[in-house]
Formats: sequence, C-alpha cells, structure tokens
Amino acid sequence: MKNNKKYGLTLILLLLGFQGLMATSPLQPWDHTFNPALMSTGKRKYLEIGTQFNLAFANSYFALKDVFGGPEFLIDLNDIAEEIGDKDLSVAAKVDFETHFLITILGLSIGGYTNLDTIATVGIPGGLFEIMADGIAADTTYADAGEVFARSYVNLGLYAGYRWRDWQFSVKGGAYLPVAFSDGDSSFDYSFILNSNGTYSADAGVAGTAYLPFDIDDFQASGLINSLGYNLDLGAVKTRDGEPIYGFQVTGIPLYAARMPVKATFSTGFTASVTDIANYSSDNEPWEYELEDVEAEMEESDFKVYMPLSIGGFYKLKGFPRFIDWIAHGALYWDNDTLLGAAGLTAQGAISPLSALSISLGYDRVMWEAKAGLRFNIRILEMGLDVGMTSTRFIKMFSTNGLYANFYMAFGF
Amino acid sequence: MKKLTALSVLLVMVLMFSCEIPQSIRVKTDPTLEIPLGTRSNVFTELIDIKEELNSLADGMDGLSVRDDIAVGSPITLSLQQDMIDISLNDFAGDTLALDTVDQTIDPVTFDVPSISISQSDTFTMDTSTIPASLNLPSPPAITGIPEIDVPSYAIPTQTIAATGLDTVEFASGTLYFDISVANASGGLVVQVTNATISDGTTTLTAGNLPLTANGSLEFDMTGVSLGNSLDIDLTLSISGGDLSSFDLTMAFPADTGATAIAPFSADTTISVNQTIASPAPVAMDISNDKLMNATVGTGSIDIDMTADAVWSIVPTINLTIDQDAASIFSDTAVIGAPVEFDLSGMVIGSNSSMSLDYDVDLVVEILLYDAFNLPVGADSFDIDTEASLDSFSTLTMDASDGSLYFEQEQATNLTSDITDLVNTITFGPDAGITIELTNDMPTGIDVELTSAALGLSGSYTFPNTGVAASNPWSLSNYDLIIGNVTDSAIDADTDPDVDFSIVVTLNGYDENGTIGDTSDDFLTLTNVTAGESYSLEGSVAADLTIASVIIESASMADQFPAAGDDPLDFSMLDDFLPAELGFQNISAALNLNLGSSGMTLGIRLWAVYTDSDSVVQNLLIVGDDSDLDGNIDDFDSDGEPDAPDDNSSDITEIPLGDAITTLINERASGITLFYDVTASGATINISDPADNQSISAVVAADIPFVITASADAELLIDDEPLIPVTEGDLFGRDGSDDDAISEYLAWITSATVNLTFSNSLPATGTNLLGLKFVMSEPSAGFEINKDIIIKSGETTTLDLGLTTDQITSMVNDTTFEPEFHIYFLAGEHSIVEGFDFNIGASMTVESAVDYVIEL
Repeated sequence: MKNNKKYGLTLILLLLGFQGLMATSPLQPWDHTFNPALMSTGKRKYLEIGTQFNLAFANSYFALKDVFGGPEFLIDLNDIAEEIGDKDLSVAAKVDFETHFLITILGLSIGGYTNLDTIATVGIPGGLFEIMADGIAADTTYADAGEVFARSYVNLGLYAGYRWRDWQFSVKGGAYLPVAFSDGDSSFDYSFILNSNGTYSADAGVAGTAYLPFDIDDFQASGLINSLGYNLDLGAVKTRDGEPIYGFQVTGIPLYAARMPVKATFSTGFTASVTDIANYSSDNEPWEYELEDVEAEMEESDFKVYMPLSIGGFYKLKGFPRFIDWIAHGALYWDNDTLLGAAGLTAQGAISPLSALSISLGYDRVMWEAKAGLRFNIRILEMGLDVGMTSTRFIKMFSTNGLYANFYMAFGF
Repeated sequence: MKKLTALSVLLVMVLMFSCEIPQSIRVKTDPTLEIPLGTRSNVFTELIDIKEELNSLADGMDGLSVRDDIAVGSPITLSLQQDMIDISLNDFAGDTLALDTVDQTIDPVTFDVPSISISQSDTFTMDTSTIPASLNLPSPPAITGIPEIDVPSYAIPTQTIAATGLDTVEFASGTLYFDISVANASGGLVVQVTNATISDGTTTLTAGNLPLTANGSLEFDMTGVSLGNSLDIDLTLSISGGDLSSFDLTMAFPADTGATAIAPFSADTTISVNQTIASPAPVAMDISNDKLMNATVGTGSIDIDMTADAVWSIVPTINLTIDQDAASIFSDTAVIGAPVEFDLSGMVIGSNSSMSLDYDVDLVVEILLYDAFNLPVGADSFDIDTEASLDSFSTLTMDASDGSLYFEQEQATNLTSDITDLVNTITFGPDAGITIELTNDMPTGIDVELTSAALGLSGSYTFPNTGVAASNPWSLSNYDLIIGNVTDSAIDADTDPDVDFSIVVTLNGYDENGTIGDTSDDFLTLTNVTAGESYSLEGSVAADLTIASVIIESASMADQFPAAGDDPLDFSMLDDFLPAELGFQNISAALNLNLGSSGMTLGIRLWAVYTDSDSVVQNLLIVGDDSDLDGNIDDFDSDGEPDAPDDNSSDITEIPLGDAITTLINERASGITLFYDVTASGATINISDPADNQSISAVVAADIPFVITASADAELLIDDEPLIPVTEGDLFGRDGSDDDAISEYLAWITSATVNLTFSNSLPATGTNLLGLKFVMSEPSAGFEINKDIIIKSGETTTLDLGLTTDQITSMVNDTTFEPEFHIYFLAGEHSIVEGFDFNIGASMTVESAVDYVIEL
C-alpha cells in the first residue's frame, strides 16, 4: 500500500510540473467521433497523428471501496435490496480506441481514422435481491427480467475538412464493421410462486440473439470485406480565436448497410412445479422439474446493421462569469433498434491557471460520468489522461461505483 | 485554486491507489421464508369418510341406511328401520291374500272345420291321326273267269272291302252308286244283276235288277242308312246268251272326279270315330286341416261341364274316382251331354292324407260331312271343367291332442306366514263369488267345473251353444277359509298353505282318453257341422273374494332379522375409522307397535345374539323374558309350550331400545342377529266395516347420530396408521454425506413456526364440533410440541406451532430428525356432522440470518 501511494504522488508531481496542464474537455481532436470537424481544431496546424484509449465501467451499487476497501468483500443483500429497490443492479462497460492522422494546408485538411467503439450493459433484476434479502411469502408471484445489451463497431475511413473564415466544415467517409451486435430481445427472466394450497411453480429462461460479421468456424478475409458497411459523417464547428465555440453534426449517415452473415441464437430454460405438497407420499412425488437443453444455433443471415445515426451539437459559453467557460454538448443516437443519448456539461477555467481545472458531468449512452483530466500539451506532442467516476445511476455519479479512464496523445506540428 | 486542483487530483489518486484486493467475500442476509405446505380439503371426507363407510355398511343390510335428510351441521345419522311385522288387514282381499289371481281370461279358441274346394279345368286333345283325311271306298277286285253259262242265278263270291279311318258312316239321304262292268264277254251274252247287297253285318242294302250289257251302275238308297267300315258285297247274276266262255266282271265305286263323283253320299252325312283319351294327372284334393281324424260328408258334389268346338260332335263318357291313400273312397260314371253332378253324400274321408280326384274319358267323335267327302277342318281339343264343393259333414272327428280345445286353470294362492301365523279363520262376504262367463259359438255345449279343496267347493255348469255371452256365478258366501285346523276343507298352514281353485272347461263331444289334463290322445267329435266354418269360444273367470271378517284366536310367530342366510349386522367395521375410546351416545331407538283398535292382545320378546369385541358370543335381551335365549328359533318353537312373552298388552305403542342399540354399537359387535317372537289372540276383525280397517305392525327404528364421546384422548388413525406418515429418514435430508450445507443453513435459522389453519364450510353457529390435539414429537431429540384446538362450526381457527430456540437447536443437532405427527380426539364429546368439509391449511415460516463467507 505504501508503495502505491508513493508512486501516485510522484506521478501527480510530475504532471503538475508541465506548463500546459489543462483540464478535460469534450472539444478535442480525438472527439471527432462526436463531431468530425473537431479533428481540425487541434493545436497542430499542419500534421497530426493521434490516438486515444478510453475505458469505463460502472454499476449501480457497489463502490470501489466496497470491493477493494479491505480484506473482505461484503455483500449485504439486505442493503442491496434496500438501495436499488425495484431497479436493476446494472453493470455497464465502455471501450473506445481511436487513431487518426491529419494534414492541413491552407485550411484544407485531409486525413484518415480508425475507431473501435464498444458499449455493453447487463441488468440484474432487483427482484432477485429482494427475494434473497426479504425472503418469500405465499401467494405472491415473483417475476422479473434482466437484459443484456452489447454493441461494438470498428470503422475506418478518410477525413476531409475545410476552414472558411471562422467555420470548420468537415466530412468523414468510411467503412464500418459491427463486431458485436446483440439483438433487442436478448434477456433472461424468471417467475415463481408458492401458493397456499401447496402448489408451486417456477420457470426461468435465458435467450439471446447475436449477429456476427464472419463465420467463426470458417473465417475468410474476403467474406469480412463483403460484410462491410459504409457511412458518412458531417460536421461543422464555429471557432473563435481557434477555439470551438459551437458546432453541430450529423454522423452515421448510411451509404451501405453492413451485412451480418451469421445469426447466432441460444436459449435455455428451467421449469419446476409442485402439484400438491400436502399430498406428498413416497409413491406420489408431487414435484416435476425440467432443465431444457441449451439450444445454440448458427445460421446464415442477411441482417443489416447500420452505424448509429447521430445528430447533435455543442456550445461553449465563454467567460460566464469571466473566469469560467461552460461547454454543453448533446447527441442522440439511433443505434438500429435502440435509441441512446449523450449529453454533458463541462465547467472549465477560462483563464490561467483556472484553465487547468474542469469538472465534467454527463451521460454517455450507458453510464453517468463525473470526470477530471490532465493534459500535457507542447503542441508537437500532446498527451493526457482523464479519470473519473461513473455509475449507471444518476444519483451515484459522484460515487465510486465505476471508473473512467481515458488516455490520449497526439504529435505533429 | 492550485490547492484545490491539487487536492482534487490527490483525492482521485488516493482513491485509485488505496485499493486492496479482498481475500474473502462475505454474504449476509436475513430472509424470511413463508413456505406453504398446502391445504388438505375435506379432511374428514378424505380420511374418515364416515358417510361412505356407513353407506358401505348399510348396503349389506336391509333396513340400515344413512339418513339423507339430515340438515347441514347436524350429526350424521345412521338410521335403522326394519319392519318385523307388517300386516295390513285391509289388504287381505287384495294384495296380501291375493286371491284375485283367480281372475282369468279364457283365451279365445277357434275351431276350423275342414272343406274341399276344387275348381279344375282340363283340356283334352284328340288323336286326329286316326281319322282319314278323306273317305275312299276301295273297289273290290275284278272277278275274272266267270263262266258264261246260262244260269238264272249265279252268285259271285262275297267281296269284302274295308274303309279305313272311320268306324261308321251314317247317311241322311242319297244314293250309293256301284259301277259294274263286264269285259271279255262273247257276243250275245246277257248279264243281269238280279240281286245286289251291300252289308256291314248289321245293315244290308239291296239294289234292284240291273241288266248289264257292257256295264252299268247299281244304285242303293242310303237314306237313313248307317254302315260300318267293312262291307260285304254280294251280287247275284243272271247270265244268258253267251258263248259259254268266261267273262270278267269289274265292280267299282265311281271315281272321285268331282262333285258328281261323290254322288254316293248326301250333304249331311256323318261318320263317327271312337277314342279313349288318356286321363290327365289326378287332381289333389286338399282338405286343409291337419287335425282332421275322419269325417262323413253330409252334403257335397262334384260338378263337371264340357266345352268343345262346334265342328265336332263329341260324346264323352267320364269315369270319376276319388282316392285317399291309394284307396278309392268314391267312384261313378256319367255321360257328359250337359253339366253333370256327382253326389258326394256319404263319402267317408279319413285323416288328412293324400286325397286325389281322378277320371278318364271315353270319347265318341262324330264327324259331320257336308258337301264334300273330305273331312272338315276343325278344333282337335275340348275342355272339361270340374267344380267340387263340400257343404257339410254329418259327423266330424278332430284331433285335440294339442290341448287347444281344453281349458283347465288351477290357481293356488300361498298364504304368507304373516297370515297363517296370525289368522285362524277368514269368512267371505255375501257378494263373494266366482263368475265364469263364456260366449259359446261352438257347435256343441261346453261344460265348466269349478272346485276348491281349501273351501270345499265343487260345481259344474253347461253352457249351450247359443253364440251369445252367458255366465254362471258360484257364490262363496257360505264358505269359510279355515287356517290351522286340519279338516277336509281347511288349510294346513304348515305343510300346504295354499288356497286353491280349479276351473276346467270342456266341450261336449270331447273325449278325455285318459287322465284329465293329459290331452295327448284327446279328440273331439261333432255332428252336422258346416264345412269350412270357423267356430269360436271365449270367456273369462272373475272372482269377487270379498272377505267379511278375519278371526285371530291364538297365534304365534317368530322370526329373525336379518333373515337366516343373510349377512348379519356388523358394527365392528367402525373400528376402521373410530378409535376404540370413542363411543356413541344419544341413540334413540324403539320397537314401535301398532295394533290399532283390533282389541288384540300381543306379547313380544326381542333379543340379540352377537359377537363382542373379544370374539365372545353374547345374548342381549332387549324385550321380554330371558328364560330361553339361545338364539335358536327352532328350539324356541319346539318348546311345546311357548315362552310367554311378558309384555302382553293391547295398547303397546313403543318399547325403548336405545340402550340396547348403544350397547351393540359401542361394543363394536359383529354377527348381530335380532330375534323376536310374538303371540297374539283375541281379535275378530270385520273387514267389511271401514272402522275396522287397520293394520298390525311392529317396527324397529333407531337413529344413531354420530355424537361420540371419547373417554380419553384417542388418536385419529387411518388403517391403524397416523394421519401424517412418519418421515422416512431425516426430515431435512441429512444422510451423513454432504450434510455441511444443510447443517449450515439450519444453523442460520433463528425462528420457525408451523401455522395450521382450520376451516369448515358449515353455518357459523359457533357450536363445538371436535376437540383435537396435535402433537409433533421426536423422542430421541427430546422434541415435542402439542397444542389443543377446538373446532367450531363455521369458524376458522389458526394454530401456531412455534419452535423454541432449544427445539430448533435439538432439531439441528439431531442429524436423524424424524418427527412424528399425531392428531387426537380430545377426551370429551365430538360431533361428526353433515356437510363437514373440514380443511387444514399449513405453512411454515422460517426466519434465518445468513452469514456466508467465501474464501478467495
């Protein structure tokens, strides 16, 4: 433990020693997946090569200190049931990996990019915790269901932008490949009741459908290419003194839908019943139960998957009051059959040294985030690390129910 | 601000780097589990189905039933009711005595007289081949070498010619020409026929002189002549003037050369031909009655007529015979010139077997020739129509062996022991009698005989054959039916308690060839009956056996219930569903007597013989003296002097039996037989007086309500097993292997309660029904819980069997925890009532404090 603290303090001191210490911000070149035009708003005027790795996970109950706060991890089912109520105990994860390069000459920018964007959530029904904590009562039906949601896209393409006066207009066009795509009906559920007349019944089931871009047993690169989809992103940013002020974008405009050639389905279930426990005898056992065989099937598919279509924008209110800038951003995502949203508000120091501080609160599709960041920028090299707290519940967004970490860097001139 | 920034960063970093990997995971929770154990509905229906058991008990015994008129909430009641004596004196003339079975209908008898009816038409065909197509008389051969001698008379040899195809020829008129020629005569010869005759042997025709030079013709007058078909021609010649040489003489009928050539015959000449024509097949004569033995025909005939073509003149002679079994019973001959009648009177017909009518025909055919010698063309057949009829028989004997002509009806009414034991004499009323009515359409009188040995009655009457309904009544007003005194006209009640009637109906002329009633060789002879007629007989016997009075002087009867051979009563099966400690009370039972106002004195004794729960046969005197109670009725009757029942009374209405029935049931007695004997005397009951219409009855009736008293706590057992079976092995499934998880969970239990809810659907009267004790025990664990509960009508009661901490501990520690559950009837009164749908619901509530650690 002592060693850990020592290393952490050393790192803080090192970071504080750089001149360009900046706070986290949603308006950076790595955020071109949010608005393409942001790729051309960085500090490197002619050439930029950058990358970013973003990892976050969250849940709706457990804090980090609960898990890692001591030698014993206490799971107090009574407390869990009381806290989450009839909500699910949800677990969410997010992974984003990005690379890009950009060449700018006379306001005209061209470049390329790759991106992996993954989100996933699992909802554990709160009813389960209620049963384990409070017990069961007769003649009450206990039923609940949980959901599994996972989306992951890889895309790559070319970038083009043009600066006209204070406006930066950009377009991205590229190919994308859904790596993981869960169907909307992927879920698990249970139901049981103990009747006063001595009859019991219970059933549970798990079912899911996922689409794959290639056949796991017979991978062929050519087949992978055939699965590719194509889309277009458009964005515009108004700048002032080189800083983005406001902007808007439409991304994920479909040109050609990706084809998912494999549809993987699985299901299993369990049923049990007791006809009349009061009349139990060794010759007449009243209970019956059946565990269904797991049915997994891979079949050919021509399922079409589109990149999430998004519209959104941002606005920076500078100097309100004078030493604080406010940045608001938001977007809606139509991820095929699912509507997701992202929004946030960042308070950032407007003048040095306050510009090194910021607080960002927001929601990004599957989790709430409260984060802060450090950025080192000497123009030819810029790198940063954002950390924050996450939770799948709004009221726990300042707790340590989850962690957010984002590392990025770029170099150029 | 720098401090603030540094502090923020520092906090984040501290948070990040102050983490510690846990070494274990601890799960804590304290759930409360309410586990329903189900509801057992209709517990007492299911477990001790009193009504079903009782119905099963009652099915095997007459008089025992489960009352179905018990109101919901009232005790289920077993009802015992048995008629020991049930005599309705009003019904003596009706159902009880049942003498009206004398009423009979004499089934209609139809007697069919046989007849003969023939309507026959036969066609005869003549043999025309024997009749020539034309008539040619052949000429005699030439006579040569007649010497030319001068003789005045020279007879030439007789020349005979024969005509074929005919028998005779009758000539009405005309002339027969006969040509004669002389040849080879020398000159000067004079030949003269001086005499010429043609004769058929009967008739001779003579022609006159005929001088012949060369030739000439003789002429015979044929008027009215009849000739046969063989003619002798004789000529006598006178010869002169010749050369004394010979000459030839030729004789011939003129050639058939036309109309003139037939000159010998006149226009209406007839010829006749005789034929005998073969008889047709005999005609079967059916008299259509297989009962005919023999008969003599009074009036009857056979009529025969003929029709034939007019061209022919036919004179048939018919020879008619009637045969029966190849023997002729009638024969006659007649010429059928016109319709002819054969009289059959006096013909004797035997039994109905193979009668036939046969005849043949001798025929003379007369052929009438007209203007040609050729035969006329005409029909070659003729018809003979035969009609036979039979009008009456002077005597007729019919077979009666099938009994259809004999009516004998015997009726015997068996008097039941109720009557023969109780009644001494029955007298009939003034209108009592037996009436026989007959409609006699038979051709003879009918005799009817009525006899009754029981009444000493014997009489007969003959119904004439009037053809209209007539009746004859026999009055019974002077006859008494005496029962018990063996006299000539009395019933021996012990050996033959029958009231008999015999009615015999016979026809005059009916010959009883043997034993009456054995009709196998019987026959009936009638006179002057019409053939083909149906005679009938029908009638009825009606009895009006109105009883005037019934006299009961001294009578005794004895019997048992159930009857000998039937299954005895058995209450031992109550052990199957009621503990021995439970006994019945409040049983109301009585022997109800109803003697009406007969003035009868009745003595009765009633006792039971049974086997008690210790398999000892017991006698239980219920009513009367105990001097001879061995359970053997025969012995009782054979005592000579019957034991005198000590309850002689004429107005006994009810003898209480409750204590006795209670004893039998609570003893769980088996093999129960109730015996009784009764003496009665001193009553004369006038049946004709409506005021005396009454019945005598003795009925055992008992209501056994299922209000039971337990002398001590009595466990409710089903087939000797506790209501809730003992758990096999540890209640929680511990078997010595992998018990840690179970034991760990049991250790977490902080409290446990078994909740029992008792409910019933009866009206909410709050009446106490049952007192029960529930016991849960496990002696090896020192574990016992017992709770009492009172079940009330219409109320729901909850019983909490809460486990103490010590009990939970003992339950956990006893790794072979096998608790027993027992339910007892509490000492005291219980009532098992109608509609008692008793439900027990159970649930278990377990509170636990789970504290489970998983080491990583």
